[in-house]
Amino acid sequence: MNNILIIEDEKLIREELEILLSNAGFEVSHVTDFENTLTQIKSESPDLILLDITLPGQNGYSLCASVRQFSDVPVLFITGRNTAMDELQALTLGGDDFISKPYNIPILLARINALLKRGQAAKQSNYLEYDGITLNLIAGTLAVNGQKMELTKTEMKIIHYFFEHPGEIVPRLDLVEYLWDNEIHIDDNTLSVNIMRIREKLRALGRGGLIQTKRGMGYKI
Amino acid sequence: MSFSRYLSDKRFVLLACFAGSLFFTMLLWLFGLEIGEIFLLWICFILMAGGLLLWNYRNQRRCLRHLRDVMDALDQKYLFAEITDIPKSELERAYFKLMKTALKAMTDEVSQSNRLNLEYREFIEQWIHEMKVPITGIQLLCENNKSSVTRKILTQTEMISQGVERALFYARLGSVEKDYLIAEVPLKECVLAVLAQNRQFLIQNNACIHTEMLSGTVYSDRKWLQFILNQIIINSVKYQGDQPPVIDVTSQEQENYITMSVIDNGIGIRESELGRVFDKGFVGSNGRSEKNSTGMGLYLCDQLCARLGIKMEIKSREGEYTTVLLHFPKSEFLRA
Repeated sequence: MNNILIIEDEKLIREELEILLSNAGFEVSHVTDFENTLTQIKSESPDLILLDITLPGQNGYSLCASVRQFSDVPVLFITGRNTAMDELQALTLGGDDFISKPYNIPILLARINALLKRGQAAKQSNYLEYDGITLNLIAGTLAVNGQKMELTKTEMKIIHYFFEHPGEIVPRLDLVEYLWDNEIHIDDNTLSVNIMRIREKLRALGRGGLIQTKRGMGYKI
Repeated sequence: MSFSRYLSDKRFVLLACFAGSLFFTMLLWLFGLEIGEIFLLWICFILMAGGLLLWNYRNQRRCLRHLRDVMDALDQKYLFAEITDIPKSELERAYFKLMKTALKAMTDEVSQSNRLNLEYREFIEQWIHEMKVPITGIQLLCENNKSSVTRKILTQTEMISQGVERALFYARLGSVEKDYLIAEVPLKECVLAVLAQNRQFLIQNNACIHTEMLSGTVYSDRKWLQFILNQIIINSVKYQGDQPPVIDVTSQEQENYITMSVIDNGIGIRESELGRVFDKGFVGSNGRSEKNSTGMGLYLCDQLCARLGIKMEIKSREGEYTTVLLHFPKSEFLRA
């Protein structure tokens, strides 16, 4: 598991970031004693550092420069300042990426993953299986007993989400948000249309009853 | 200054000359001089006086023309008194002194208000950066505790964040030249980032956005470009029609341009108002009727586009659609 060190002086943001990142499956630690930040970085040797620029004592830029003297750990700047000068300075002093507040959470996670060279594809296998139905993420097909069915990108993402949450009730809004995070920008009605098409395809494969509708709550497989 | 005006300025001198010469003519006539001789004296006098006046007129005109040239060459006209030569005549010198005092007061006033303006702008920027901390806090809190309430709070927070951003960009508008980083920007990436920023707002509004036909890269500043796109997409959703908003973002490559178009199915803009949408503070019938428009969004976009070398164009039919076109020039030497 990757260890992320948060260097941020705003307590609430630090705490919430910790919750967010540990929910996303990272091991998280943070700095509270800003006088001895460097010693802590040395002793913890994190896999990635989230660094704010305005800090008590040494500011983020000079901290990053000091870190670069003994380590190549990826540094992601997160800051409220967003002028071109700030960005340039952050990157020339050895920072690896720069995100300005208020940041969008999926984007933040994507950048972290990119820096950890641990993209989505590497994390997951190319096949997902549920109840005898196989979803091939590379070919975009659904297969039951060797019988195959082509899926569109949207349909594949929807099934993907269902397969990752077997037995759970999936609220429609969660599904829409998941799709938006995967660059499919559709509304509630379009989602209904897609679910209908998926059901038809499943029916053709003889598994028409797979997706159940929970009135007022969402879907469930 | 024309010669007749000059003469009218000198009318008292001329009158005195005329009166004096009449008096002397009488005197000379009483002494018994011939009419012919007196006539000769008259001609001599007129020639002398006329020559003197003409010479003086030309001098003054040359001097004025010189001053006018100095003024034209000057960037800050109020610094005129500092640049120009000190005049020789006593009257002119007195005028000059007065002018210098007046302009000095003016210069002080200008630099004072410039300073205040800059301080105010810096304060606004600082304040906005401070505001971003609690906004980020709210966003993280809501993301970590998802419910229908926090989703609504997130939508509102996105709107606050947008408003704050707009204030920041307005404060910076004067110094775009100092704050940009031109890089290769993939259009699609830029649009996706804007959509991600406004995810809750767009989902809550049942928006459907197609970006499949979008491709190509342009050379521009990502931050400013995102701000422009943000305004355009928010407008499309804000001025939606009876149908839920459907927005098509596409790009076409032409010989010298890459054109990005954002097409929506909103209420459109009246033909009579189409020409004025970029004016500062212009709130059309759409803005007046329902939404809290400020008339600043498109004005800022237009100003920014002009500074970034992007041509912005709006087409619309009332009640049907609005299309915003952004033409990005392809640079010859960047392509090489």
